[in-house]
Amino acid sequence: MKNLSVYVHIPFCRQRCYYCDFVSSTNCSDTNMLRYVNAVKRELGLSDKIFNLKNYNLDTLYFGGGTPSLLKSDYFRSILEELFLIWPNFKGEMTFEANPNSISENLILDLKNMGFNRISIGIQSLNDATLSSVGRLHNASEAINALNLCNSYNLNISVDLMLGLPGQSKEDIFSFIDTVTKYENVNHISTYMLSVEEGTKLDKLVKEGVITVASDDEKVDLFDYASMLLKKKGFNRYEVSNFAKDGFESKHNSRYWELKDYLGLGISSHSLMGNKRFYNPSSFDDYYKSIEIDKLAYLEEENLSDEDLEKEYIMLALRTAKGIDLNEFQEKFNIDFSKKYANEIEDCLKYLNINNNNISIKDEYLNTMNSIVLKFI
Amino acid sequence: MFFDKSKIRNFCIVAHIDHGKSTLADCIMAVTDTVSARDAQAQLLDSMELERERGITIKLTPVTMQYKYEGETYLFNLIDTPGHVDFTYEVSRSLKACDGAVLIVDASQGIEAQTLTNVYLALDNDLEILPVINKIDLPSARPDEVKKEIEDVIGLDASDAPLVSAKLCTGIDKLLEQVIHLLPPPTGDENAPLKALIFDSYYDAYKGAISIVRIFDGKVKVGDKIKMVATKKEYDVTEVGIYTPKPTPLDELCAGDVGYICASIKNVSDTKVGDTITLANNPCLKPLDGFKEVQPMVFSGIYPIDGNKYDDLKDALEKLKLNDASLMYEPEVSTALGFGFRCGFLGLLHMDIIQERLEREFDLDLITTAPSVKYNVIKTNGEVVVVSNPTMLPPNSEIDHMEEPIVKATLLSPPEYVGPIMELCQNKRGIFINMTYLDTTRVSIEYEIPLNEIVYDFFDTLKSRTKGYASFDYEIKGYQKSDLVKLDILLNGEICDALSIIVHKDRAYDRGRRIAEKLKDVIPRQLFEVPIQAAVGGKVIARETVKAVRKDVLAKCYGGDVTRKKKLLEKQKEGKKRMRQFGSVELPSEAFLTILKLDSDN
Repeated sequence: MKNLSVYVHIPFCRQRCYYCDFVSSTNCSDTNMLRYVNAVKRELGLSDKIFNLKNYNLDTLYFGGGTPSLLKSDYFRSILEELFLIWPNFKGEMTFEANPNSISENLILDLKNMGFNRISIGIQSLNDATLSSVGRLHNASEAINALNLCNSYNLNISVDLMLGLPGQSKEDIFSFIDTVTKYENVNHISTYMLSVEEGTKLDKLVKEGVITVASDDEKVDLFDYASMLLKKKGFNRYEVSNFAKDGFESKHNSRYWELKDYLGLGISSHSLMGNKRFYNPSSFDDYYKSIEIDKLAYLEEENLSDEDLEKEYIMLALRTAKGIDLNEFQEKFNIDFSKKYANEIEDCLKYLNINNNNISIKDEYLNTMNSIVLKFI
Repeated sequence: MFFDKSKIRNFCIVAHIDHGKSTLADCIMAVTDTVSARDAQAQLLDSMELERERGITIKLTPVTMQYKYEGETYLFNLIDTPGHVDFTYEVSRSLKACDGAVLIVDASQGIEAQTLTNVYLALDNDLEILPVINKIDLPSARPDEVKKEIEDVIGLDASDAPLVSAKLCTGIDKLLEQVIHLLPPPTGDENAPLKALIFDSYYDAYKGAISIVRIFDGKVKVGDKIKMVATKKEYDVTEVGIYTPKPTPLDELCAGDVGYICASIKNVSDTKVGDTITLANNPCLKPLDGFKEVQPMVFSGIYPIDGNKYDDLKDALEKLKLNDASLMYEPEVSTALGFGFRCGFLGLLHMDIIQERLEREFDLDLITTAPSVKYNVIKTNGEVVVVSNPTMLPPNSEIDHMEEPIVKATLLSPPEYVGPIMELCQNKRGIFINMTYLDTTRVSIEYEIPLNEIVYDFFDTLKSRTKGYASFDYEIKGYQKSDLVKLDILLNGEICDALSIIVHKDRAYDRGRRIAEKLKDVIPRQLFEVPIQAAVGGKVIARETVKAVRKDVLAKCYGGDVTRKKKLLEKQKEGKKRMRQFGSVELPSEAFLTILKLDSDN
């Protein structure tokens, strides 16, 4: 039986963070959310008809956003009930994204009750001035409270740390890492370098000169510093932006990089089913218009040839510390990677770790991996 | 064609660029009903799209028109001439085909550099000159002052000069009256052996290379066996005719006529501009004088950005060459740029036009190396080699000395820009010759400047320093001994041949430093540090470093969106395709242009 990961997108936020260019709505009215939850459930039913989901083994489940913690527990439960009808025995990794200020004891109890075993908290920074400068609604003490709660209820905790935010110093990063790693259940940290995306409020503020963000070189300086601290604390960089203690790597995210099947539900979510890539529209209207007449809303179904899959596998695997698994590559594509790409490997020797089973990009070159990847694809 | 010679007028219009030559030609055609208004495409004589866009005429296309005056029908052969210095030789041949010239002077701009050049060329060819003041419709028009300028500066009587507006097509009848009265009819003997001047040629896919001619003596008709005096080749005439302005076949062309001759000639280089056509079995005793082979003055390497497009570039050059005998090219190999062509041009405008046509008409993306001129290298063993490509320069130890081409530059400008102009010329190693106040608003400045200084960015800098008010013209004066060196640029320790240039020794340090600085900005950061060095004779004179890239990664939060990651990578890959791999360094095509644009920003 084939494994499958499921991602459910909850596109609601009380306020949009200035740097965010993901799809989300700030209309958090009950009617609006209920309509969305019903559509997601309907979409699951429609997908089931097409893909016969019972024939898959549910591997990981992930609720991301947006701010999933804004959704009423009942609504969550109703989505989960539909999922568990298909996969009644699911016991795998089950992650929930939350903002620090929406985490309460009740929420945690509900989550545990529903089977969630992992929470990903968007803390980003523990400096109040920095947080408010990019429109985050929480402050440092709310983040600490959230950590205390989640830690005491024995949820596996992942924490987001953003690098290159306005006013962020090395001291900030030191104290952030020092603080969060004191919690025994914090076993995963995602560190993203801030990128100023066109059309975001941050873009506007930067262009108007209201806000200054770090240059690429400064961001990488901060990243290297964070990476060094995290390593000391026992967190390994297992992917470009992700650090974890041994055995606590995000299984769900790893599936993306392993080119495994995943099904996305909700607006703007992406899926890979076999050799087909498709994604939902990013407008609520387009999504509803289709789902509410019992039609899937997928856009741009891309049929990947074996060659496409091979390139994608390379591009994604090289993001990870494990890199390309030569045996898996042979099995999957019936190709001897070291032979077929001998010239490219030779060209990139300086940047690669090579052993009998794996070829990966050296840690110090992961932040400049694009031009290395481009030699292979 | 049989037409009373006393009723024929062969004339051209000469002017500084933008003074309205092509507009006036259109206007004359409209007045003589030569082109029906319906067919009239703006500026019909400039048939090439590019020429129309730039407002310049490159190809010379004569037009035969009929005009009724006082009950008599006159035949006008209007010969349009290019207004640019690159084509001086073509202009001189066109002028030779005429008996008179209409000199246009812009009513607000007055006399400009090319006005003078063209007047002198016309006088050299013994043409009667009829001055005309154009653009009198402009609010800034000052016809009386301009008339005085013509009288003072050129010495032509302009008191009765027609005042016209080519744009509004007013004053044209008065102008044509004066053409009849003041410009002479052609002379020549119809019964003498054929003597025809080729003053242009072009390639037609069906008829082959076509010669555009002025018949001085004799007649030519279909079936005649003609002989090209310079190339000594013989052909059978398949068609003769005139342009109305479309090619219109006739039975014969006679002395005094302007028209075309087709003779199944395969290549435009066999119908050389300036050559004399005569009859093979009844040749003229003496050909028309003044023929010379045109020599390219400016050279550059042209390479396809995508190395696989070499054959396309080759085909495109072959096609352009069919129509442009003055374009020279030969294959060339560069370590930095791969396979391409070394091309020779008449001048900078010609080079620009060829590049633009290659890119536009043949859809090619090109890299062009810094333009070079032809140097005479006198070796220690006495041998003289001509070098137009810096990489072909013999080793230093074998060079006794070098000579470079010098031009006489004439600049016309309002007096307030004299300072900046002299500073510019001085910076370009210019030697001051003379300065004359034409009147209170106009100064003529003469300099001798090495051509290799002009080919870099002289035009652009002149324009920006004088807000576009100065005009410029030059003619080649000759060669002069000069202390020249080859400046090499090393990337990551290796000489990048496409970036080498020949410069004066005193300028090498400054150039080298600035090229290195520019390259530093243009070369993207790579996975490793890239040193940029400028060197003369193996000695490094400037150094910059492109630091290694630190961030080049897609690290967006939503891992599931592989499509976007793929698209971004593909975009990056497309960008890389436009890069040239030089050793392990990736070079954008702009890198090769930096040398051209060193002075433009100050």
